[in-house]
Amino acid sequence: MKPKHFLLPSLLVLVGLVCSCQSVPHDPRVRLEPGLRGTVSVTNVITMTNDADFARIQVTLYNRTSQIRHVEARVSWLDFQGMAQDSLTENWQFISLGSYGEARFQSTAPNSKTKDFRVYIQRKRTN
Amino acid sequence: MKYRILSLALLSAASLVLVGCAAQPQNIDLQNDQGHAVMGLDYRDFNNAANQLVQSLLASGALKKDGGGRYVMTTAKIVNDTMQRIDTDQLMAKIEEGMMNSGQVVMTSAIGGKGATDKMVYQVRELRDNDEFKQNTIAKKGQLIAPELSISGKIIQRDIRYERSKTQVEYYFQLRVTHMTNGLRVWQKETIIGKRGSRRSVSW
Repeated sequence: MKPKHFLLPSLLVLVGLVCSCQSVPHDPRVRLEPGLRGTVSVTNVITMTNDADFARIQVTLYNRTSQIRHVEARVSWLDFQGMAQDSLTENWQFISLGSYGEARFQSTAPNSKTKDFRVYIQRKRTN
Repeated sequence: MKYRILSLALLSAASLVLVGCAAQPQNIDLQNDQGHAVMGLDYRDFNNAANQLVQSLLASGALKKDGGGRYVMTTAKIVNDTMQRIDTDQLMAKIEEGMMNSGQVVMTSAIGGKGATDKMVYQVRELRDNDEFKQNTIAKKGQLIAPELSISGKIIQRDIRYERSKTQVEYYFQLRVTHMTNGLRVWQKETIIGKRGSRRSVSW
């Protein structure tokens, strides 16, 4: 078998490997601190509304390392004009990620009129 | 004489250095507080507990009223079963605020676990038959609206010896919402805050 016959399968395997390590296509509403990008990825963002017509989100984080990672997240809920809504979710929420583990962070809008959001995730700094 | 002057000068210089080194008061950055955690409960713990409880309540959809409109709610008794002097109103103020901001609930000040939240509701009514007041500006009988929902709860503290010099303190925040018509509990949630530190750190 000629070397060029190995080229296509090898490339496919390489692309597959790269894709499996990538997070989901970047969601501009979820802002991950640049310093975390090598260790933590956002693998999924789900949005839905509950029975009371309140928007809900779930962000899945993945720890790409064998060490336990401590991060924190906060959510800004915005009205249709982009005005931040008064909400307790503006406080940083602690998230612990086990070795190569996932964690799901959920938040519910403070009222039924709020639909848009921004999630900020950073290395744990606050106590 | 020379020694006296010299020692006085040295003392003055030392006290100046000490005063200069004394920590200056600082305002706390409430959004990004990097200060050490404390064994007792501070504002960060109350914010965290209130956030988790309100988030759970809103996510549950329990406050959605059939046929639309808002529920009338009151705060019943919040028991402080900790070794700290906690003003439970401090925790409930945040939770009530979160519920009212949701647009699903209106709180009543006419009745609560500690009596009326606003005593003026009743003081105004005592003015009936008082000639100094225009009687048609005083609330008529049968105007107050009874609560449909009540929120009650408890804060519990457990101290556990962790190591020889360390202790573990666990705080449990429990809340429940009960429908006043049928007595059924429509929502409840417990959130835990745990701390581990020196036994010498006072947690009460």
